Amino acid sequence: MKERMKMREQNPLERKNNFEEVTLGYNEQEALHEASRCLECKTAPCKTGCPANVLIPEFIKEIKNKDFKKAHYILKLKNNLPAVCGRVCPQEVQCEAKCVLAKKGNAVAIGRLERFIADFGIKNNLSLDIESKSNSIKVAVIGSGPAGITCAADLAKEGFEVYLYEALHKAGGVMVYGIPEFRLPKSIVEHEINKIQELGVKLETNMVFGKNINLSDLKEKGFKAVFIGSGAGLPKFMNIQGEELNTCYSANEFLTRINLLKAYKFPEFKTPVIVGKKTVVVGGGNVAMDAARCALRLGADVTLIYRRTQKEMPARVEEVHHAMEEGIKFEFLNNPVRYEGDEKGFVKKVFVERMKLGEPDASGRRRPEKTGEIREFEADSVVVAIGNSPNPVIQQNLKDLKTTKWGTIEVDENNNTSIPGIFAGGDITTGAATVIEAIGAGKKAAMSIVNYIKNNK
Amino acid sequence: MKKNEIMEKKKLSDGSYLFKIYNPEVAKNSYAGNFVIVIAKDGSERIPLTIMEYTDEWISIVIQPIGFSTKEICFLEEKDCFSGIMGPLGKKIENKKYGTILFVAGGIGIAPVIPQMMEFKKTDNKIILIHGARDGEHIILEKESKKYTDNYIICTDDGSMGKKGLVTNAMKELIESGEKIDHIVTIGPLIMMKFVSDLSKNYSIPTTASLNTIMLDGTGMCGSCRVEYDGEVKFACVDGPDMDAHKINFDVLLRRNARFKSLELVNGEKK
Repeated sequence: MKERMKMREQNPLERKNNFEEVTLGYNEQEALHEASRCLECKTAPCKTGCPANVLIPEFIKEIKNKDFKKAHYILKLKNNLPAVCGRVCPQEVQCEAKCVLAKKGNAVAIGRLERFIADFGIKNNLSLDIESKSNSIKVAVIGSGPAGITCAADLAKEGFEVYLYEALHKAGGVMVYGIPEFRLPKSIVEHEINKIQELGVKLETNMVFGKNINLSDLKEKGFKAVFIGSGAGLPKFMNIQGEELNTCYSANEFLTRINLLKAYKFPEFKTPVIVGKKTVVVGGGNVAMDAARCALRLGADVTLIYRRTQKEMPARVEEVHHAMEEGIKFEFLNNPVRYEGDEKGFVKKVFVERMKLGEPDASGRRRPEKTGEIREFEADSVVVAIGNSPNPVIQQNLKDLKTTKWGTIEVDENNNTSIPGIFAGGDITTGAATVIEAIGAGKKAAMSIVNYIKNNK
Repeated sequence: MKKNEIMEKKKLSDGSYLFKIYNPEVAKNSYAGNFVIVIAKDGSERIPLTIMEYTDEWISIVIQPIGFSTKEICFLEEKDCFSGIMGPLGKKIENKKYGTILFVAGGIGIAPVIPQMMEFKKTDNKIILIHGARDGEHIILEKESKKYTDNYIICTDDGSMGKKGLVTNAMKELIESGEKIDHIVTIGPLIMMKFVSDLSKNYSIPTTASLNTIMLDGTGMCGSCRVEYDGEVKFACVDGPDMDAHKINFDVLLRRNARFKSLELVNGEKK
């Protein structure tokens, strides 16, 4: 049995000083080696692990045949964002977890092969030559994150006239404001969005649904359906003393300054960020890892504080591993209780309480319990990365839209909302989740929209 | 006309600029209290500015060139296009009859006061305006101010126009004179709004302050604009910008609004 091919990476000591991509991708030889490990199982269990139903053994087979163009075509048929998924999907719990070789702890590196092919497509500027006959039926997609992009692209492939509305000045949603350059280069996101526009999708930025574009406007203009993929936006705070301090950021603010507004290139780009010499990041998810690694690259000494142990961390193992390699310190079983500032309101100290694990909670993970033991850390900045709740702006402006008690938009199994003709998917319906789940929802919603319009002719 | 094209640029006596910007989608949805996020060029900061006038086609904003980014905006000329205008954001004012409404504006804060006075006039409120500034040159938009007010009081620090002294003195004088004030709206520098709020609290007059905090997205996503409000965390961008002044912790806000001062750019470079 051949070994799973490792991916080359930038040296941790070097990469912690730059925002360039950490993982370097496979070259042709490496990709061929890895593809040859695929057993081409008839049952293809890997496919059942992919929310976008990517034709996995089929595209890998074409890698074996060295027909990368065909592999690209097969890949893009199902997934409009393969270069993104190949980088940020948690394959180890999805397709690769279902791979028969995974039982031996050695699944085919599907994600890396996906990235190889997607990058081949970008390098050669391949387009998906799909003949779609325009049906001139207008559909609006709200939000240009992974759910919206997927829904828009799939509808465009079916011939619909799709308008993709983005609230910010740049398209891509979490892929541009959240995920940092060193994990997902923005040029790649831009390329994928250009490709979607090539399919005929009309992108308009600075458009906020319920503000400068309303349901009534859309109806007047003859739109037949709307998909809402506005994401999980509202940052959560812990409501502890000192969160109002100047250098206490939500992860959203911190990452938006750095990624969307390029504060790491200040003053070439004009939006500032202050990290200081020491940064404390609170949280254990991928967003916390991203924030910690950004702070590190801006020159801070970074400590990550998580209330449970490494085992319970929701972040991808690979991200935690990368963060540790780069020199981020982890303080498990600790939870902040308050922050102290100087006379000008800048963070000076972080007080944390030691926790211990108790009985499992609703999530099945052992619940962290207080011990009363308080310690203090010096810090110049704090990033709170404990999750987001859905942005209520759209729901506030659409009174008939049913929401759940968590504030997410209620949808049925076909992504229908309580208003006929309005569909929703992604984080706005599930709460903060992954890129690939949003892609899956965007796909499903696109199919539902096709059926809805067919039935309402 | 192109979207976000500058239809008119006018220099006001205090050195600030009034921009009329073509953007029907924003304009026809705008109302008093709303703001827009303005992006001058690619790579510029996102700057929140309250809308002054709105028609079906254009909005106007007034901006003072103080820091790098506001200067960058003021360098734009007629026929230029803003890279982006996003809005209208924030809550619209609740227009109803209070009786007598006192507006207390500081300097350029008069610009966002204008549409509020206009709308509150429509609901038959008596409108009193106290506009304070450094000197007479900083008293701008007089014509508009006169148009919507029943009583227009000017005060300047140096006495070069109107009464000499702070807006709070004029406010006190007015209230002590027996004028029954049902509601106060204050817009201007944070420190002024804080003192107006402290004073109106003494007289138990409900007061609204319009907050111009540091924002990024303007839709509740980042929390940069958060304020301590009655012990809770509120976001000025979605819960405001107009909020109950008596519940705002102005001291925290003053510190937060100065948090990037050390990084202020001079001619686009670090100091």
